Amino acid sequence: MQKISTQDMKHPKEIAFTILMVSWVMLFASLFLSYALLRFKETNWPPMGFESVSLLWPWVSTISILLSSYFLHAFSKFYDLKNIKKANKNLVITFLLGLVFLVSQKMLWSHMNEVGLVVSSGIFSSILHGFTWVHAAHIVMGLIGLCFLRKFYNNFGDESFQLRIKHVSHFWHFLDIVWILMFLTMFLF
Amino acid sequence: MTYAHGKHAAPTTFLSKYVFSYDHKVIGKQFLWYGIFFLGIGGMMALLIRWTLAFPGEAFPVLGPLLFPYTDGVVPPDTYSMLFTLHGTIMIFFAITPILIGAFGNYCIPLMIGARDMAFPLFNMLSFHIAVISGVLLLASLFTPMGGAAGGWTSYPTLSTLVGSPGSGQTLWCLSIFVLGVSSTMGAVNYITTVICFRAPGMGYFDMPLTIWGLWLTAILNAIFLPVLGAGVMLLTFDRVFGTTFFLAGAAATSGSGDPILFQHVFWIFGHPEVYILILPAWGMVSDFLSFFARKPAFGAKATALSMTTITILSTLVYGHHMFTTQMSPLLTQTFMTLTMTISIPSAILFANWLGTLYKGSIRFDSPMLFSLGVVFVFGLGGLTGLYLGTVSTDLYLHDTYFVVGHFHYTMAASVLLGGFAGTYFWFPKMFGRMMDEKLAKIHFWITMIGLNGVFMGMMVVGFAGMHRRLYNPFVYEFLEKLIPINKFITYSALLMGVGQLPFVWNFVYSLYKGKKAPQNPWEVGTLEWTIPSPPIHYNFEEIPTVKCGPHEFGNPNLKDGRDFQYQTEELV
Repeated sequence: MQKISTQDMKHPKEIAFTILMVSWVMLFASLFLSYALLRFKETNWPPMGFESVSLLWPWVSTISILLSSYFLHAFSKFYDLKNIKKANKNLVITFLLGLVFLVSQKMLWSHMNEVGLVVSSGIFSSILHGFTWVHAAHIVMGLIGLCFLRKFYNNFGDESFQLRIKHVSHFWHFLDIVWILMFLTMFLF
Repeated sequence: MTYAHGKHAAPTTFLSKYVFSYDHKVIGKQFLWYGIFFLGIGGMMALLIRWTLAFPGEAFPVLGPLLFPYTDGVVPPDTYSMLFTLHGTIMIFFAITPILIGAFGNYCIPLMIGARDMAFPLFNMLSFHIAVISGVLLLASLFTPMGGAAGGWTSYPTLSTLVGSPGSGQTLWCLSIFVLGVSSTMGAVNYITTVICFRAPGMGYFDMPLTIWGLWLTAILNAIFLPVLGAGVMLLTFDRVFGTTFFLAGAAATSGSGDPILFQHVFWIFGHPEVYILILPAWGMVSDFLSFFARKPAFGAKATALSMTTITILSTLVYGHHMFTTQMSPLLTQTFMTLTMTISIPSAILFANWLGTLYKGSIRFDSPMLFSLGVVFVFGLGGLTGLYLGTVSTDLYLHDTYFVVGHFHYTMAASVLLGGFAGTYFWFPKMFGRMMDEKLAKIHFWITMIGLNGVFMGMMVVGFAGMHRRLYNPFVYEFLEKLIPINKFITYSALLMGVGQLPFVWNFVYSLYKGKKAPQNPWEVGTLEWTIPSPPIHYNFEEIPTVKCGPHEFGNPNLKDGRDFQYQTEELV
């Protein structure tokens, strides 16, 4: 008979979250696969004589989301140290930077519409618009997740709250990584 | 360190007991009713399709004039496309998935692994209610001005884009599938976590019944590949609603060019694993039932579990064999063909183990066993005919003919349907505390078996003769006219099969209220769900059992008191 060791067993929520992350990875992987297939089919990129998008707003997005990841990390560090004031400051900054990211995305969409890259003007703008929508929708989910952390000062040392912080942060960092990949493949190169 | 389940008190009101229940047993039954409801709708659609193919231009009896008053009861061509599209969609996503995965998954996983509930009961409840929303979306699409989706269940662009199917029916179809994907993913997360964390003490992975193996592997595939379909239908929705051009090319696109083939890639990366998502629970159940009713330990149970796992892994690598005719590079088609053929190896091991289990068993031909043997037969046929479709040269001829339809109905429809019936007959006593009538069950089995073989064997024959699928009236082509008689035969078989379900419906409803009271363990089986009363109490186990032996301990000569099986909670004698 095989004995189950429960010594190093992970919390069910951790396992569930890992599976959910796999699902999200597959969702974005499918988008990247689609992008790769569409892009390599073309001889020139951007196709159809379109010009690349100005990098101003994508850079703002990149910097804001990178910083937000840093501040979120700092938040969980100060949470562990039970430093309410600093943890709170970092959490608020993370949230605001998330909002900055969303605003910069909105500006990006406006900018694209201005230069003629409206949603229906072909595959290039389809990809830029469609993929940033999906990502931005997840950022909104991430922001909602951050709201669930706001009462951290009542929950020091609570295992389930620690897991919540861990999972929201992992989700947020994941979205950060996805954006960096999008920025590199869709805007920079 | 052990973790407590999400706690919930015994419900008291009607709403909390039957509608918004956290109890996995109730949620399982909800999924069962949901699935049976859609099974009926999908079945009626199948009969309408078959009628049109056998008697083109003739009114469908009785129901026809009510459904299609403008054509005097004849199924119109556009409705015909809608029917086969929704028949496929409903059967796969709204009948098989809820029954095999939703109902048996929810009901059996906690009971068979000795847990009190799923890991996340709230999540579980939401999963069902989201599935209901998805079903409502799909049914709503039928009532839109231009009717429901009509681009085939695969909804290939450009058939499924605004060019091929204008109107909001197809859009609602996409949304419905997306929402259902969310529901199934939530269910999958729950199943996987429950199996990993909440097995009773002493139960290693290889002490789990093979049913649980099947359901668990299915859940893993669901969690990995449903998001891929989600991405596909999301982009399709963008194309339809916002005017993007992911899947539009050439004249269909106003400018720039997407790629219709891209959808096929995304669809089949999901779609091939989906085939195994549907069949794995049935395989698991059949592997168990063959042992239970042959009164023998499952032959090579570990090998069976491992070959199911191997098939799960391989199933993710072979999707290209659905796309041989899309002008793929021959190098790729050869690769996909070879990978496809390697699936034969674990499948053959699985199949041989089934036969090994039966060999020299003292077989009891109770209804679950009859249906399981039915699965062995039809799955064998379905699997073998798959070889012709996995081979590039024969597939080029057979692609998109009724041979394909016959093949996938043998594997996905016939095997899964029979497996589902086997499960229903087997767990009905545990679910509702009453026995189903054996005689009616056997009548049901034989009519179904004869009917479905007539239908699907006939389909393979007409397909081999060159009849294409999805044609409204294939007999406008002269060379197919001689196939009218055999098409009539298929339709009569389908009608027979349809009629054959009436004993089941009667049996099910009658037994629910008037059936013989079920004993705790009517089938004399040792798995954990039979150690507790039928139906189980709230929270299943008064005390979490300790597992001391495997699920298939039958016919051990050391057993005393005339028993030929032992419970998993007993030390191996």
